[in-house]
Amino acid sequence: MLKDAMPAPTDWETLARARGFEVPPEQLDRVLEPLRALERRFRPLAAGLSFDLEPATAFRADPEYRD
Amino acid sequence: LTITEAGRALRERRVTSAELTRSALDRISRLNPALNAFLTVLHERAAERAAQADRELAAGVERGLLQGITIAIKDLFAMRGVRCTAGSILESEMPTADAAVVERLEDAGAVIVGTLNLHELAYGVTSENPHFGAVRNPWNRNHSAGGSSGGSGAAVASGMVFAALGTDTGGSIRIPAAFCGTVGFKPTYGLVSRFGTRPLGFSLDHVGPLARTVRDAAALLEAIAGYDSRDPASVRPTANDYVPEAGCSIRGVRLGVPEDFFFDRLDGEVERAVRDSVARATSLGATVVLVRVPNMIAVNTVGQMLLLAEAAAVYEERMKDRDRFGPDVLALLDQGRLLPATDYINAQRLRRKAQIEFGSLWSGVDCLVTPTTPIAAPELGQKAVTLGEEDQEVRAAATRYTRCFNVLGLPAISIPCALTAAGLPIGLQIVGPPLGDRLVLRVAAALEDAGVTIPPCPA
Repeated sequence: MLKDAMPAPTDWETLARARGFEVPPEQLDRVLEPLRALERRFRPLAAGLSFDLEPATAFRADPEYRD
Repeated sequence: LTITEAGRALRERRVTSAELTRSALDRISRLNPALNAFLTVLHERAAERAAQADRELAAGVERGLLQGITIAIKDLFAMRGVRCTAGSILESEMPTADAAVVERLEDAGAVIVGTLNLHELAYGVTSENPHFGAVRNPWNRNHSAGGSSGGSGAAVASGMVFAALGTDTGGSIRIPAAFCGTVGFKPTYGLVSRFGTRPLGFSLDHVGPLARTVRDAAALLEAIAGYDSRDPASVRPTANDYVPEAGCSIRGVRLGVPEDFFFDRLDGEVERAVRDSVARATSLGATVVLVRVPNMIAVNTVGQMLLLAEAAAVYEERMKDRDRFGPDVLALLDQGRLLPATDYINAQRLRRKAQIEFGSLWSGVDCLVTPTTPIAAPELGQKAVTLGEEDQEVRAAATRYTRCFNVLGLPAISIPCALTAAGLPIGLQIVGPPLGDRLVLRVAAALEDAGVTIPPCPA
């Protein structure tokens, strides 16, 4: 069920080319392989987030907060 | 000598700060060619500061525990007029102002004798710097000093200085402390100002001390902790005295010992040493509570995602100078540039979830005790280690037990608890709740008093 909801793995190689990365092809795996592994671990975690969970970064507009 | 002992000797006129400083500079001249811990040695500036400390001590001006004491700082903190490299050749920055922690150390009368080598841009755990050479471990020069604050660990362990400052984004204080056999303390996120400190991961960066004893580390923390409006993450501390009293007790303190993750996959010698230390804590009256921790693999994954994205944002504009980065750091920065913004935001959402889940742990325990790293210091150049039946990259192995506490922003200390049969130090990690820095230091000091420590490094 969860697997069905998961987006397809990112095509990192195409993304790197589209971003104009000047990485020699023989070095590309050094960049992309860890990303593939990270994505495999990360996607199932992110798939379970509830809508109202806010990120842990917070901007406070009120200057009183600082002083 | 500890900082307290040296401070007493200074006040009783048995030694001068000028003598302590000359001794430190001599030792640096003798040991640094082999250890490569220092990048810049501040002979004249240190001599002037020492002379000032001696004048003030003679006049009865009291600045506290660090007055006249020799300290060094990771080459990542701005110090007016002193080259700051961050372990990189991207630029040779000549700061025109001091970092907040440099201001505070000098206000406390400390004598900064130099800046210390590190992993390039503080982005790695080995301190095998491609531009300035590898830092070598004082216990065995063929082994890594850890990183990224490797120079800080090596300089303190070898007795070149009493203590040093480091930074910790995924374990960069605690890992070199564990590998070099020193104390290393990462305070609660925001307790020590990062103003004037080269960032790596804004939401993960912490500044803290490395020292030879817990009380020496606490003395440094006492000098550098405090609110600073120039750091957006700065918090108002709940205490200003961090040095545990002599003979401090941990009777009744509930020490959480994880049943899972932290003892799943580690070297047998490390596990035995940590469990022996827990037994020592029990003999001091602490209560051991076996706990199951939330999914720490998930927390580490979140930490990796955050750091990749934040570090890439810091260095995005410099990526055209590709030949000025070492290959490992370049690969990490490239990875960060490819991550979608949604992944970064979702990682921060998962971080909030982890914070909530982990927060419930503190109703049952006061501190957690874990190994700092699953291994002792690997050899220089070693890429992988075998843990259980699995090979793991040194980087992933070294940060396995530390990175999660950067994500959670919790205070965490590494103290040396034993030596391996090969004579390499083993680190024990004690973690506390947010702003539980004093308690963490007290537990660590009580264990150290009870003999959970190692002999001085023979370097």
